[in-house]
Amino acid sequence: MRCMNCGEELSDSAYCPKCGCDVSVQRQAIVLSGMYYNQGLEKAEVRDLSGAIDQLRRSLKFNKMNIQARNLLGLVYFETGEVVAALSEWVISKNMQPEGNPATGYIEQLRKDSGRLDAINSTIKKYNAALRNCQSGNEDVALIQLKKILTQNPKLIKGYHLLSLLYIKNGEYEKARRLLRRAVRIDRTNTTTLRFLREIDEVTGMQTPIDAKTPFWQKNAKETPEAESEEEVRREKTAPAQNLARDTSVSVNIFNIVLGAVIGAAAIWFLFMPARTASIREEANRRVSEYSSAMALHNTTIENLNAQIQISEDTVENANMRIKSSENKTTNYENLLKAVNAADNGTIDRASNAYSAVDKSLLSVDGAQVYDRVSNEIDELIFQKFKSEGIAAFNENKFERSGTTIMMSLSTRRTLTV
Amino acid sequence: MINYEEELKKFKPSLDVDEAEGAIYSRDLTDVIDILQEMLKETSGSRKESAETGK
Repeated sequence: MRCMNCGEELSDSAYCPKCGCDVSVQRQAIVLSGMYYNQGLEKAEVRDLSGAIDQLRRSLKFNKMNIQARNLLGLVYFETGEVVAALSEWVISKNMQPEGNPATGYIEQLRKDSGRLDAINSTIKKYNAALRNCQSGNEDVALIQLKKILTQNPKLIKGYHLLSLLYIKNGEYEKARRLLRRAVRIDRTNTTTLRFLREIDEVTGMQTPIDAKTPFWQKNAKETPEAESEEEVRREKTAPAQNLARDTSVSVNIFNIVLGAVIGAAAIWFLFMPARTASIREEANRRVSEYSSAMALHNTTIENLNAQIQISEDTVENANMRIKSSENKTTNYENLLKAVNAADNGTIDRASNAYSAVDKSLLSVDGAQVYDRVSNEIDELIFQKFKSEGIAAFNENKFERSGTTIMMSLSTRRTLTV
Repeated sequence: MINYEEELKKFKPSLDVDEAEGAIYSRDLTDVIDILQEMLKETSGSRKESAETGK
C-alpha cells in the first residue's frame, strides 16, 4: 500500500515514513473495501447478483484501485447480460493495472470471439428497439422481438423483465411466471424480478417455487457452452473467479467421487467402527458378566450340595457309630451273660474270658452291679482254685510251686484267710 | 397492483458496445481515498496561505 499523499510505500505505522501524513483513514478505507469485496464474492457465489453488484460498488467507492473487486463486478455485470458495463469495468481495471491483470484476458477473450460480442451487441440494440416499441404502444412487435432476444441472449435480465411486464399486461401470468423463474435462476435477489413474481403470486393465488441456489458458472455450463469456455478462461486468470469456479470436468467428477468414497469410508472407519467396537466390547463384557454370575450361582449350588452331602455323611457316620455302639453294647451284654453263666457253672476259664471282654463303661447301673457281682464270683473262684492248688502243692512238699500259687491267689484278694 | 405505464417508465435503454467508450469516460471513479487526498490538498493549501499571510 502506498501513501495517498506522496506515493511512498507504507509500513505498519499509522503515518507515512516519508511525508508524515496520517494514513489511518486510508488504511480503514482499504480494509472496508476488502470487506465489501468479500461480501460481494459471497453473494455472487449464491447467485445473489444484485446484492453482489451493490457490495462490489461499495467496495470500489472505498478503494477504486481494488482490482479484484472491479474485475468481479465486471463478471457479475456480464452474467446479467450487461456486456457494456462489464467491458467498462474491465477496461478501467486494465488501465489501472496493466500488468498481471486478469481483466486483460477477459477483454482479449471477447475480442477473439468477436462474433459472440457482435451477437450480444445486436441483442442489446434489439432490446432497446423493443423498449421503444413498448413505449410507442407496439407491444405485439416488442413481444416478438423480446422472445427472439432472449433466445439469443438468455442472460439479459432486463429482457425477461420487459417481456414479463408485457405478459402481465396481457393477463398471461403463467408465461410471465415461467420467464421470471428463469430470471431468478440468473439473479436470485433482483428486486424487479421478485416484485413481479409477488404480483403474479397475489393475482393467481399460487406461490411460485424458486429453484435451489445454483452458482452462475454452473448454470452457464448447462445453457451456453460458449460461455463455459469464457468462464474457464476467467477462472484461470482471476483470483475471485478462481474462488468462485467449480471444475465440472469428468476427471474432476471422478476424482470427487473417489474422494467422497474415501472420505465416506474414513468417516465410517473413524465414526462407526469405534462405536461398533465399543458395542461389541460392551456385549462381550455383558456376556462375561452373565457367565460369571451363572458360574458363581453354580458354585454356590455346588457348595450347598457339598454341604448337604457332608451333613448326610455326618448323619450316616453318626448312625453307624450309634449302630456300632449298640452292637458293642449288645456284645458287651452277651459277654456279661456268658460270664454270668460260666461263673454260675463254675467254669473259670470261660467266665474269665467272657468277663475280660466286658467293658464296664458300656453297662447300665444294673448291668454294672451284675458285672461287679460276676467279678467277685470269678475272683472267688480263681482264689479258691489257686488256694486249693497251693495247699495241695504244700502238702506234696512242693513249696516253691505252693508259694507261687498262693501268691497268684493273693493277687485276686487283699487278704488271705487260710 | 402493477401499473404497466409506470413500470415501463422505469426501463432504460441499455448501452451497446459502440457507446462503451463514452460510458467509460463519463464514469465517476471518485473514491474515499480521492476525497481524503482532496481534503489533504485543501488543508495544506490553507496552511500555506496562512503562512504566507503571516509573513
